[in-house]
Amino acid sequence: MTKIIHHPSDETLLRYVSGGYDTGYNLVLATHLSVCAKCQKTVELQQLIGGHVLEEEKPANMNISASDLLRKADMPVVETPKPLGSTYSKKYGFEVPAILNSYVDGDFDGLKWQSLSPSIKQAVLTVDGKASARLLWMKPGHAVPAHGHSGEELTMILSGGYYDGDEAYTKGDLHCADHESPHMPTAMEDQPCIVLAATDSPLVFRGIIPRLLQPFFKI
Amino acid sequence: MTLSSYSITHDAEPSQYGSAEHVRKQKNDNVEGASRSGADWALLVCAIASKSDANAFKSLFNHFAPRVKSFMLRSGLSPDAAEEIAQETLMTVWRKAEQYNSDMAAVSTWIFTIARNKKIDKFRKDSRPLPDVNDPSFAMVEAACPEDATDQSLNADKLYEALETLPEDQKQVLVLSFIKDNPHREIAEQLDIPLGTVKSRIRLGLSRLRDRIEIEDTKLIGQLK
Repeated sequence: MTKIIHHPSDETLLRYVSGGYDTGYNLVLATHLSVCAKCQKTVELQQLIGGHVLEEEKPANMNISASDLLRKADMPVVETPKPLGSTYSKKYGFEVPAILNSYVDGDFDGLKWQSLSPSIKQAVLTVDGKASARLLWMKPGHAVPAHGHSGEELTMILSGGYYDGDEAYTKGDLHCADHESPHMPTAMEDQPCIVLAATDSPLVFRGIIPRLLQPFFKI
Repeated sequence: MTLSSYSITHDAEPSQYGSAEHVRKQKNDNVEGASRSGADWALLVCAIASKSDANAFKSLFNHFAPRVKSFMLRSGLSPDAAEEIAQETLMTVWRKAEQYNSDMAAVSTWIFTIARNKKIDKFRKDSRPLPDVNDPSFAMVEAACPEDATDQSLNADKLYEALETLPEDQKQVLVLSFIKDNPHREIAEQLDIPLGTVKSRIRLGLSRLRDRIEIEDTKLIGQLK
């Protein structure tokens, strides 16, 4: 296991902890957290502060009493589906983290990928409001054409790695790119790179990227 | 209903936390505004988990529900939505009390994270489970940087003390981060400071807290030796 070099910033984690992100971002950050002890520690600290902020609140008037609520507690509970554990993907050769596994119904190898170009495939996992999370598969040595973002893009490297500018991102790293930095991630040569990426503009890859990719199809 | 009603009017059965403790709590509760320590709250959650203690629940409800509601109101939710989240949060405390681990977190921290998840759930359409790293079923796949991990769980009281020593501007930004939807941008606007300043205050504040807690830990370890 290579050491994780790139972590989400304190502010990004704080926004996650305070519930300010949509599902796609939560999925990417939770996946990173599930393999990163350092960030878990930061989140633990921030949650403590959250508990403190809660303690310091001036109490508001509740409409019902504790006894009223307990009477409601007898009502049947709608159970949310039980999360799946992690599994090894034979086809792609890496351990699919538990949190992500629930979002691919436990069958990463059976994912339906959509080709964006001969060297890039995607599978959209969740679209919630404006935010979405998708998996991207990049052929060794190939690049996602330079693109910008209308908002923050969070990318977690699941397998392999890529270069972006002077930086190398490998398994477990979380790459945070904001809208001000157009970038061009290029997969490392040794193996395909699989990433989980969240953006707050679901049309980035459906509309803009295929258009950018058109010249490449002609090559 | 106030805290003082706890276990005076409804003291039907002896509690697991021992009679002397119990009497002390009653005394505390009779003083308006008296606060319980984190350990007291943890015992109440344990009482719910072990024997569905309704009185313990009432105390937790009376303290935390109004605070969760207030927290949600300050986050910009409507009174109805804030009430609903406060009720759902406390309902989860009742139903999932056995999932609470006092070694891992203070009760206020646990309830904070439940409320945070309820708030996210309310506004999302995806029905799949919320990715939550605190869920015990999400075991770590592999510890990528074990040297960064420590066995010690953070101590809430120590953290609160450390928070008090932070410069006011850093503390303010940290606290505000919890009640804003897009914390950094909104805080920058509210305080009329650049976005970069908000971010640097968060970083400085957190790193001071980390240092402070680590120094305390080191001291403690020194004493033990």
